[in-house]
Amino acid sequence: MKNYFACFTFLLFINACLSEAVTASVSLKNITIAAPYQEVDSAKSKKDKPNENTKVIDSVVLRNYVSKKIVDSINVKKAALYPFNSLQQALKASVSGVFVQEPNGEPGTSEQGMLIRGISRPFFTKSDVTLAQPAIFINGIPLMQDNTFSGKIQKYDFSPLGSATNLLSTIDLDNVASIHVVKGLDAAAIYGPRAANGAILITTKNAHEGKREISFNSAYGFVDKDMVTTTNGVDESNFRKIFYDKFATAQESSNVPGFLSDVSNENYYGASNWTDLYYKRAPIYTINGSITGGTSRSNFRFYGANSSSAGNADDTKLDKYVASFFINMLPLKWLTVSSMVNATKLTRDRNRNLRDRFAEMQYVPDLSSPIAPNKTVYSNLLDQYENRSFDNNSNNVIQGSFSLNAKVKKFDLLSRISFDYNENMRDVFYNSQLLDGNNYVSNYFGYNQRLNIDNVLSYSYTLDRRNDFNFLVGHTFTNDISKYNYGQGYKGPSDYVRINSVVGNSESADYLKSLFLIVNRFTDKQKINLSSLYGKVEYSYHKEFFLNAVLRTDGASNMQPTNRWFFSPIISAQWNLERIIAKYNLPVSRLKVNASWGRLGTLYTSDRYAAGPQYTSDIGWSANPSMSSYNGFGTITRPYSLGWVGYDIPWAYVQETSIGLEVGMLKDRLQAKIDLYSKNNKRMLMDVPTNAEYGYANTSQPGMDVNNRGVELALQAAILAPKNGGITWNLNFNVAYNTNKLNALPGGLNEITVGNQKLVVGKPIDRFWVLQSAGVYQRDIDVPVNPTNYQILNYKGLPLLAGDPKWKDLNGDYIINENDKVELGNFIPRITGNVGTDLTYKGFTLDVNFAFVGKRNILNQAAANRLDFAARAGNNDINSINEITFWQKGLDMANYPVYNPWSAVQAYRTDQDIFIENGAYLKLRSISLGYDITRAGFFKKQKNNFRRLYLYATALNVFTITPYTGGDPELVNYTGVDTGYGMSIPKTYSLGIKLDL
Amino acid sequence: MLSKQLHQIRFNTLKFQAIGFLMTVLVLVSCNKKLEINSTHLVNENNNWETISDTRGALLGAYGLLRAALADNNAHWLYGELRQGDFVATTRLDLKAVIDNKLNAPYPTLQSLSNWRRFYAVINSTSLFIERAGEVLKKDRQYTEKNYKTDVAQMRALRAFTYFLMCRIWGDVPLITSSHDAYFEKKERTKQSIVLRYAESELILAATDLPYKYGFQTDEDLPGAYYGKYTDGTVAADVGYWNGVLLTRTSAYAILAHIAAWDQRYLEASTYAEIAIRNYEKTGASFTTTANLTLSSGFFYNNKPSHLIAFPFRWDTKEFSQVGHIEDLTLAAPLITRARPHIYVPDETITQIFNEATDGRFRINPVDGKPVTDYFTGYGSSNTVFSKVKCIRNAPQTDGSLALYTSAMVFTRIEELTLLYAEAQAVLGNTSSAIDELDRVRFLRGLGGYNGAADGVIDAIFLERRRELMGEGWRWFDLVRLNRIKRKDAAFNQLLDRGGIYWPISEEVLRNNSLLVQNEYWR
Repeated sequence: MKNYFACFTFLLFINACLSEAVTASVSLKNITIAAPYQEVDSAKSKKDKPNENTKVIDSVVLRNYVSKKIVDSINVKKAALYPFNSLQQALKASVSGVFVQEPNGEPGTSEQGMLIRGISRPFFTKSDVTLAQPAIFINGIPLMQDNTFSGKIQKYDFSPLGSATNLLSTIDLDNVASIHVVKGLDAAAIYGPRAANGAILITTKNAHEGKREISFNSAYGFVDKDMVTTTNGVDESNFRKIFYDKFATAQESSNVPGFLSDVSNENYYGASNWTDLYYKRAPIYTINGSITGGTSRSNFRFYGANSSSAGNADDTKLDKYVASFFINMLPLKWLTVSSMVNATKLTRDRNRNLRDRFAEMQYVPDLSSPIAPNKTVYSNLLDQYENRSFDNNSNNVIQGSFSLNAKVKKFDLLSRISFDYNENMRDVFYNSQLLDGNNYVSNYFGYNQRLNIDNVLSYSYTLDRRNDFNFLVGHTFTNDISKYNYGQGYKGPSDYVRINSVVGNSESADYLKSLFLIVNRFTDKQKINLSSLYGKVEYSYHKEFFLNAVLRTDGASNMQPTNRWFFSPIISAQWNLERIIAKYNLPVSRLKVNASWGRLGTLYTSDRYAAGPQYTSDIGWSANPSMSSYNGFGTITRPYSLGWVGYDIPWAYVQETSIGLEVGMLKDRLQAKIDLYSKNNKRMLMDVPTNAEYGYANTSQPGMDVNNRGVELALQAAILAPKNGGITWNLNFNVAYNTNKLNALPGGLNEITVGNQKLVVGKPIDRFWVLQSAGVYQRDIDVPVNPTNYQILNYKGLPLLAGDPKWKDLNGDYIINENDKVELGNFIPRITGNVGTDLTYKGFTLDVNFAFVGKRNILNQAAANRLDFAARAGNNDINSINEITFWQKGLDMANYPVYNPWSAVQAYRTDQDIFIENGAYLKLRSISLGYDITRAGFFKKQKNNFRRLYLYATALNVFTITPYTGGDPELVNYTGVDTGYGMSIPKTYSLGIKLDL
Repeated sequence: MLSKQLHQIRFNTLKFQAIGFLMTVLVLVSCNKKLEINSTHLVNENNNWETISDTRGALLGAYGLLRAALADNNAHWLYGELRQGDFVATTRLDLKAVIDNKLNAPYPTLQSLSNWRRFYAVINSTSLFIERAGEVLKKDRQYTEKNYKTDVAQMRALRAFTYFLMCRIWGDVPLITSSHDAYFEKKERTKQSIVLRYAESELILAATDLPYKYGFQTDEDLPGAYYGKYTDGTVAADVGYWNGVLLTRTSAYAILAHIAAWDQRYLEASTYAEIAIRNYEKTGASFTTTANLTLSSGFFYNNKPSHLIAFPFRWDTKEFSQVGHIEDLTLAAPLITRARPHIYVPDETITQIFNEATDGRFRINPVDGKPVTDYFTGYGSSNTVFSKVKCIRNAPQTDGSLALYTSAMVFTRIEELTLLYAEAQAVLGNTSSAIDELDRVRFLRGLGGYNGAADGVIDAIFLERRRELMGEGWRWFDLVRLNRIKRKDAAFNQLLDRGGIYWPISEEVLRNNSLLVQNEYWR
């Protein structure tokens, strides 16, 4: 509270300042207003040599020693042509060392992730993935992502509660001036612990002085539908017949599921034409405009946008509305005042999967018959969704900042208050026809709020002509609050009451009682503060040798009082060999070497470790995780299922050593940048499975240590150099190799098994551990028998029989179990990269970009699920749902052996090598062709004010070449499993215009 | 000139003001105190064991943990009802594996059921309560000595009960009697007989401090409200509040009787059971009519004083659920929308078990050949549904479109205890006394007195248990006791002798404690 008060007073004070300033007639000529958070390089100084030693104080801008020339930044101008609907999509296949995971093509879904320089920790749950994400800054404001803490009341974690929208869908590339990717600690140091997994720095276009500029951009296009082969009951019966003929017992044969047993059933055995209603070509568009203007003393920029992206299946859609306002003022010669507000609204039409609906309702009805593939039947279902139910999802996001930059002599003081606030809303009503006559309502409201207060003071000092110093000291305080309210109502009075309302009549005995029969309400709140104090020294010798050191100490409220603060040093050096090149006449035009070493603390998103040993309410069971009362009273227990938290939990940190080389040859027409790094994430907390006899599922122990090593290469070649009127042809090639290794587990353990994942010290953390299969036992007597005790070869005690897989018994103990598993493949790609090329001729530009991924594997669970129909049908749980997409051809039986699907050993279990496939791919990610009309002769003759009038056409995701048999190899979840639930990433085509006046 | 000077002054003042203010902001926010935040969704060690509400939360939390252990995956019935029992599975292969005694089949349900962690969470929380509740006694004057003693006795009894349940499931289990906070020492399995002896001694100790009932103004042992709630109707809205949800002295003796019977010490079993059935009325319990037993608003609905040991899933406290009820396994159309149940009793089995013409639970009307039954629905169709227990949401409504259940998980009731006492008497050779007790239940269900041979009494008692307690999680344990007494079934003897009556210990549990050894039969 005090903070807010302070801010408020502060603002009042600024107002006073401003009014003062009006009376002060300080004339300023030729002063460019350097808004403190504006990018200093780029367009403005195209002709100038990149300013190697800018003195703008800034905790945001990449410091001068990081070359921005060829790598670690994306070409926003180019990216803005494409209808990307999230930051992740824009970054995909554009920067070496950044791997974007898009397991689902549904527009706006939160299932998108980025990994910079590999996987910093094992991925057991979604929150581990969250912890590995880079930090995103917009104009220096660290964005807050949705907190995962509402997950603990969820029975199924397919998607988070609420709108489950990707907050990085708010980034509008037409509003962005630059995007830089911070990969190493040398650049991350100044951004603190949030940037320990790397950072993405987004700088929006800002206000600047000059004649009024107006820009207008618009593009229209569509996503194309996928061509699939549909199936019906005949195909499914034929598929199952193989198994029934071979293995079914009398009981199993009599238990053929109802929907297949009656061949006269038109719904299942008739036409399979559901695809017309499911896969659709859908329109997309974007339209936006901006106006910039003002004087050197005060200037502004306004940006407004609306865009719509669509998926090609299930009528999914994401709409976005953006309004941004920027203002800079120079009330006094030495003082710059800058302010911005950037507001976005997202609304999303989500998929209509049964799985996601039942997960939201936390209720699974009878699933013995799937939806029929018939159009009429399916359209009835869709009608219930579309016309008698609703599922409204929206997010409002707003970032704002107010900063003051005072420059007095060689001192430079920056003070800034900024915030990021996002709210997440979902209102659901499911008609009673969707679930056996029970309607359902739910409302979610959640928000995340971050307040930042930054103060930075710098002082530059020139010792003599050769020795330059710059000192900087800064402090950042951040206050994060996350909160949500969630209410569910089952069985409302009628399908016309669609809100969770209460009886309003105060006379009634049921006054204020909900109209819904069963009502659940949940709420939770979390507060985390972070305080950082840092100092930096920059030294340059002769402007060719640069040395930087950052020392910082960070304190987090969610660390234990005894370990609240963490001290991080980072040093880096760069040597520009310009003079050496000249002196020895080397055959290169540019040569720079750099090296860095440092460590940086990493943050947790949860606040449960600070308390140490603790109590909560943990009396739920797997089907009822949120049960917390016993006989009507709230309960308090140790957190048995979450795990024990002890004292003395230190900060985890990342320690990285890197060296790099930049070379320019042939007058910089060929440029290369090579980086080598070795990064250790140390002392990470891990939920270590513990002995069950004290009731805890695990204990949170620090001490996990994961190493990521790799090399990144970025090549840029101007094959045909720009000549007047001629063709220019540039080629760029990015490739990154990354590999990881587990260096240590907590408590000196050597290996750990968690679910299907196994971690072994000295091995990578992203391996699949599987049984090797070598065919099938045809007869019972083919199964080997242990000659010593005459025991039949068994799977964990169950003797193998005819129809069971011939799993290899590696240790020869005649028991197939976890010890017979081998490591096979890895789910994080070792090789990622892209090849891009652009051709320009006169006003024409052709741009093509290929993405590739190599040395990576996929677990094809979708195939396993089809084969494992017998076990799944019996389970009647959420994993045995067959969606409408069940009725499309997706499996080539020729690739799989025929096992007995009824066998108790679960012959088609996913942890065997037949389901591990090569997940490499080459994808034509994007292609665009455009023409700048202002370059045309006829246009030049007319006198007009057009600065640019660019017409273009684009295509995305044109084709993919892959050995993977399960479709698009990108549609794979965070642990490399293709669940079959990834909605297609569609081919997208658009036509657009960019107009600058 | 003057204006320029003035301006200069103003300019400088402003400059200092600005810088000064910025520095103030900087100082304001750098306080370390800003980093002290108590989480809103957990309680740290300093803030717990302070007041009476902490003991209430912890006490009921321990009960809640045991309810969770038995509800998870419908464990209570998968452990007790399914193995070699009367039920047959339709499509679920995991249930089929349990029924066929293939407990090491690699289904997730079975792996979860063979993991004893949830039971040890009860052990840990009860031990913690016993260790720490004394702190509240010192700090909060509202927490009386009497209340404290009762609570500790409940926790002792609950811990003993949990050990008994574990022994029935796994045989030898590590005996751990303190919370071991922060130091989770690995322990070997303790001989079952030692664990049971420990449980027995704890229960005897607890029984003296346990009341017969809670929340009665005029009760001898514990008069007045219990944790602010009256069961006796002093506050009309709370009437019946603590009935059948906490362990009473009757509960303690019921558990003691079962421990002794399981341990084949029938003399003690008989003594303990006798104490229980001589005092059940003090708890407010009574025998239940057949109609009431099977009504959706009857015996199993919510909490009842006749639930001698039970876990509530009350409608009015919103503790109903889908999983954690026999209904989740047995109900189907026409009672709920699901077409077929997961498990059912085949018609042949039904007629074979309910073989007496006057049985109120099931009989065939000799006139029209149609069944008269409250136990089953749709007998004779291809879809017979076991519908003895069918508490769908708020009774008495019966709309089954939203399958959420409110039936309590009843471990024992007076009919069960009576039959246990009869069993003990029969084993001890007191045949006539055994028949008296058996007949008490038979009369209740419309059957005449037992008139078979004296050496058939034991079989008759177990047959009565099979009919009376169907779907209440007893069949498997009854089979074990019966075969221990009779030892006539060679295959079963094999199970008895090689530890096949126990569940395997899950891989995960074995992996995390190297001192544990798998049960012999499942190696």
